[in-house]
Amino acid sequence: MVDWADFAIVVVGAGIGIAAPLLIAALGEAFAERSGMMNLSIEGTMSLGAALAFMVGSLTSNPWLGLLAGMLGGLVIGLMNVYLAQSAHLNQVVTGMSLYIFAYGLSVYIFRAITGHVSTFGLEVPRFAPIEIPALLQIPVLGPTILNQNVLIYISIVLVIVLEVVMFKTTFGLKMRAVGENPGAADNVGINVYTVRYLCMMWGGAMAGLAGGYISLAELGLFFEGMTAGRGWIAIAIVIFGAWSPVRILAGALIFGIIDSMALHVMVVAPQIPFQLLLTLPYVLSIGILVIAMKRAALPAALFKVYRREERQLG
Amino acid sequence: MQSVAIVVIIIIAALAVGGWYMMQAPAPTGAKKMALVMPGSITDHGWDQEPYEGLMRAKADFGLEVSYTEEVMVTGTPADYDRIIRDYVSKGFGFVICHDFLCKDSVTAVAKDNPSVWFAYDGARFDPAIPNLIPYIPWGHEPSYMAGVFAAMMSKTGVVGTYDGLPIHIEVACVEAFEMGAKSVNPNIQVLKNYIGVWHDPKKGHDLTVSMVDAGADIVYGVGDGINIGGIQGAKEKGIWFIGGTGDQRPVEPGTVIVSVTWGLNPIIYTLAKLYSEGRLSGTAYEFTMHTYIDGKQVGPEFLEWTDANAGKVPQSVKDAVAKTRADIMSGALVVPLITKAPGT
Amino acid sequence: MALAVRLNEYFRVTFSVAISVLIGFGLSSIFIIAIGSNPLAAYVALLDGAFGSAQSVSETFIKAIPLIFTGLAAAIAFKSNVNNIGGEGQMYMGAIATAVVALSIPVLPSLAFLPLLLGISFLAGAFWAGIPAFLKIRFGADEILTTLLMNWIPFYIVSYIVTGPFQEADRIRPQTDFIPDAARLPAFIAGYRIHWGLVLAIIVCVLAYVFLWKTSLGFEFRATGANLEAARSMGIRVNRRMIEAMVLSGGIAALAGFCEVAGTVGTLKLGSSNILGYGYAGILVALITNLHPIGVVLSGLFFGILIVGSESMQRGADVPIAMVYIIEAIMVLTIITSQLLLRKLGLTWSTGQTSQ
Repeated sequence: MVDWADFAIVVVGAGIGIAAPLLIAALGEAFAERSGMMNLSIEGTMSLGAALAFMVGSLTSNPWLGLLAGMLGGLVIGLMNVYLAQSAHLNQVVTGMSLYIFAYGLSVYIFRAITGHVSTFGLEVPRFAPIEIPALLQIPVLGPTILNQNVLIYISIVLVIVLEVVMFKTTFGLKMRAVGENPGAADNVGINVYTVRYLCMMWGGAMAGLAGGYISLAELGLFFEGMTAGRGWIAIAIVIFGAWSPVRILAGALIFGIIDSMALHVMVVAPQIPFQLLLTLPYVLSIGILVIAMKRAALPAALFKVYRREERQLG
Repeated sequence: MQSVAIVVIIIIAALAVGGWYMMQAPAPTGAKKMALVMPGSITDHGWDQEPYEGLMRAKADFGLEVSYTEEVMVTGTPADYDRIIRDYVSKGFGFVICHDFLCKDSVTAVAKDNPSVWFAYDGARFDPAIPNLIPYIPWGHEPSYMAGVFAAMMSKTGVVGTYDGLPIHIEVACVEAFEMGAKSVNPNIQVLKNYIGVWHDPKKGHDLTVSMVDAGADIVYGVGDGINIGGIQGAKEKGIWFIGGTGDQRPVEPGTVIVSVTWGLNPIIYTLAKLYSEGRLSGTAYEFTMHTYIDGKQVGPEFLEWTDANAGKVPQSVKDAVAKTRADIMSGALVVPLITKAPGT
Repeated sequence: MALAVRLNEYFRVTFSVAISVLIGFGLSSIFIIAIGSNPLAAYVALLDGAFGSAQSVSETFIKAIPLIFTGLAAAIAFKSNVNNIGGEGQMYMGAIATAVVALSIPVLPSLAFLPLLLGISFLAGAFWAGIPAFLKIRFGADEILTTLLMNWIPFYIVSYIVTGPFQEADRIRPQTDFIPDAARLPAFIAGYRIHWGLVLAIIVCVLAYVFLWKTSLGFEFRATGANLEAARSMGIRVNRRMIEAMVLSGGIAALAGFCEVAGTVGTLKLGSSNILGYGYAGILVALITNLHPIGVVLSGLFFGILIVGSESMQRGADVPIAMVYIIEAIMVLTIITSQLLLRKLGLTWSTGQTSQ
């Protein structure tokens, strides 16, 4: 019944859809971590972004405004995080996790306040449907699956390339990486550590919010409490998996998404395999691949450390 | 520093006094108090939302004072049920319903300690029965069988699908009955059956439904709440019919969810509330099926048929088959087997 | 004289915590008022839920037990420069081991059964943490990534066990049979659920304190955490210490699972890993007390009060469930802000290093 080539194509096509929000959130987090700040609030921020995007999107009947709202919400959380962790010198893990809980609670709070404990039924929201380019669709096999994705996915691919350039070929990228490796030294050569970190965390938050908006507007067209289902944490894993570089993060997100998709497809055609086994596959294989294929990934040396301007060594 | 400390201490003292004052039990209003404890969110379109809505209807219709606690399994663990139920008892509630299979030991312990309070929990009867504890179970096998008949007749590819969260009894009953119903129409039909381990992740439901369509299914029956919401979206994207489960999910996407199996949790809780408000609760163990009647009305699982808007899309032969199946089930000519263990376990 | 200084210090610390709690309540009130509920009624309900009766107090302590264990686990790990965020998974492995072994071997007398189960669950958690530790040292795999990914797996293992080979005899609910009475941690006070797991938690914390501050091995752990390069240059085998810290941390987190199964619940039930899961909350528990083992006891208790109390607000004051998250988050943030203030004033809460 199953043609293996077709099966693979279908799995990959669905895998791309699974990978998209992970990729978006990871691209944001990569910048935050490169500047030395671990942003653990992604999961909550994604939920907040999903809620805001859905609410605004349906109220204005404009999905782009919805996405913008999601990004703004995420940006605010990122801003709170960097303020607490950098300006107030608090421990990043605590601020990140507290904001994760806060943002998640806020998403439920907002959602219920607006819909009055009901649901998103009756709330119409225009969605990001897959773009159907007739010429591309004609391509046998690849057309209807891999090349039949929504506009945000195409934007994400472009974003990967842009961000790879920004991270490794621009001055800002250089400054950011310097801050992440040795903020004291960076400060000494005149780089404003605070500005860099603020920008990176706000970007990270905005992208997490965007990923949330993707989930509610592009993936499913609804908001459901807990719909992020742990994907924010997976995004953090993918950042490390991708050694903090956008192109490798893309690879990581795709690998995870494809394995996840494969598990679900295999489950249907081979129900005799214990389903729990298939569901743990993405996690187990990701660990395995990390171990086998990746070299010792170098954390940005300043990750987790509180940077105090007055403590830096001068000269 | 010292003066600030004194101010703080005064504030705390004031709050303590005010708090003690507020904590004095309010004068009893005489209204009967009923509580509902739920594992998930009241916005989940299924297991928790249905009873919640039944509770709210009962509040409006019978003048009960109600309270609910939700997301026990989201913010805590099954160990919390004990504390929550006792809390309600100490607040003077006369009827506490715990809507989760996992709270049996907690409810049983509290029921034994408080014989004058009514308790209900979601589970099967047990011996010896406890006089003030009402177990209830919604068995959805009969409407699921009808759903299977419907699906098999509507399917043009000869492949139908069904999925659920975990293979525990009420879920297995629905999934297996669906398969039996489908095979009664077409013994060669292929029924895809899967469990995805969770009930509240819409994306997983969506992806699984799409996978089933990729494997050839053209109608899918979801037995869950959050996973159904996503599954419905997946069905809509792929242009196939979806059969709702747990509750009436036809309003979610009227153009996609053509029929729905409901476990009737809304009327079940409503009816229990009604009995409580009229003082007619007894320690019966309820096993709700399509044959359960309370006060002359059928309460419990149902097969909700196509709406008028969709009636034109259902061939007359299918309508007839469904009607005949229903008649046979209700008359007893057809007894749908109740399977509670997944085959092979 | 020294005692007076110490007392003054404790007073200031308690005072600043009290202030931050008040501020936390104040900030949370904004959200409560915005949805039309009465903040004062809400806080009364919170306190009532946590302390209102002997039953409530017992429940608060019960909630604190796993938090103390996972908090201690996180404290030991972070203090030794190992970012173990796998407490959730390690706790589950401990619970799984406790249930599976208790239901598989012939019943032994309590005096033998309990220590056996304790030991096996410790080993289960230690093993689960040992895998990421090994991967880190051997392959350079970052432990944040591996411990995080490994958190998902025990949930599916539990799911398989409670619907399959170890499902209860009735085959109805997704839970195991009750473990034999001899395998249960006895209750403290008849009629209440609070059990000796609380004493165990406190003892383990004291042992951890003694280990970290009074033994040379413990010193090496702390040195590894304070300054990796300096420790290495002192001749400390930092890699080994980090593995050991990780493994120890995993074992202790598993004891949280052991206490839940053998003490509080009596079976292994399906209980999804959730936002406020004990494993993740444990990290917060450790961090707001600056990774101090004894502080973890108080911090775990505080979290117990917070979680039990804010969850009770649903019943006592019609405050929706979303406020549980918001209040928790705000409280944690205001408390660590107060700590910062304290530090600037030259007072610290712990005798050890500050967190990284």
